Amino acid sequence: MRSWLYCPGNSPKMIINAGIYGADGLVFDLEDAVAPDRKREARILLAQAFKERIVPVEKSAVRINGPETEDWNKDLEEMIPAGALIIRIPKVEHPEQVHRICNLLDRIEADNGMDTGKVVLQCILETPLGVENAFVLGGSSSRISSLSFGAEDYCAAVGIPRGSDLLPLDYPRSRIASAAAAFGLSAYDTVWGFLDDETGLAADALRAKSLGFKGKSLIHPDQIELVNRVFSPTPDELADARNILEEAAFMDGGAGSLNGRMIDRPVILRAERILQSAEETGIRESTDAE
Amino acid sequence: MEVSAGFMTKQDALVRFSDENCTLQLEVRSSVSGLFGKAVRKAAGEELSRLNVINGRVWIEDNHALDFVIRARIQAVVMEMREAGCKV
Repeated sequence: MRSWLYCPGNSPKMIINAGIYGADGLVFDLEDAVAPDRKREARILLAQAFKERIVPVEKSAVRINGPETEDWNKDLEEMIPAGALIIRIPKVEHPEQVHRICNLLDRIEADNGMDTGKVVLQCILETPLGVENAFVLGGSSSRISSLSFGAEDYCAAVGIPRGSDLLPLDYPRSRIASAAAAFGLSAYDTVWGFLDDETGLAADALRAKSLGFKGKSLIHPDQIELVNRVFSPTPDELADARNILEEAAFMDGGAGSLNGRMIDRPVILRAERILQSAEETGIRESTDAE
Repeated sequence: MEVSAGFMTKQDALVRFSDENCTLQLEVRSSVSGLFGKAVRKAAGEELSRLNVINGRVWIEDNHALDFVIRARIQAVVMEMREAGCKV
């Protein structure tokens, strides 16, 4: 998934239209986008949208309220029976929080005749403690499908500006991407909040991609096309991957070379992943004939 | 006591519910009442019936809301009223 578009969970218009813009995934938000005195009506509205398949359930996540609030369990009690299968948890810091959520999910799934573990979790790490615990969090439950970075709260806590200087975020991004990879999870990058700064968005997304992120969360449909492009394999990457695999077909299990470059198992694996990613996102290598 | 849910924004509906001591009354005002007023009333009536609401007064100000929105906003006000201890 290259792009995850956030949509307020209490806006019928956004809920109805969210799927038409071309984002790979949608995140319906019951947390920051909903005022405290509107939480109940938001979760009822969103649950009804899931029940009636107003939203594309298979690619729709729900960001519940944080594990230290009074609302996260109500969110799950309402959304899972309604059909939500991807839950995004904000401000995760400790494995105990994940376990608490998983215990409730076990019970809700059983009550609703669902297979245990059907609901998967996306953990957002957006505090220094969450970032430092990325590895233990990534391994804290088999339900976890991805780790995401949340830069706004992180920057506020550490006391660094969020803007065009991307260097200060290399550490948390690398830590999260590496922890995710250790468990075979996807890593998704933070939102870019400067809507008029497309150049900044491109630089931010490219930086995240270079550090191992597979996609990015978005706050506006206008950001989708650029982010999808950044997180798709480039034509050069695709051509290179195909050449590597063609060469590998003649190798006898060990190492070989292509244009002076060593080809061994990790290089082949990376080439395979690039082609797989292209296939998943419907991208084809352009050829001379085209 | 009166509670409300929803907004007057496009594709939403503002639903108000008062626990007046009367048999259930439903009033619908819609920006597209000529076309969809009946449908809004039908969706609201069905939801109120499903929730066994038998008394009180419900006002709906609809702004092109789909049925699922009407149903959700009705659920929200009924639940809030009942959680406050009102027998509706």
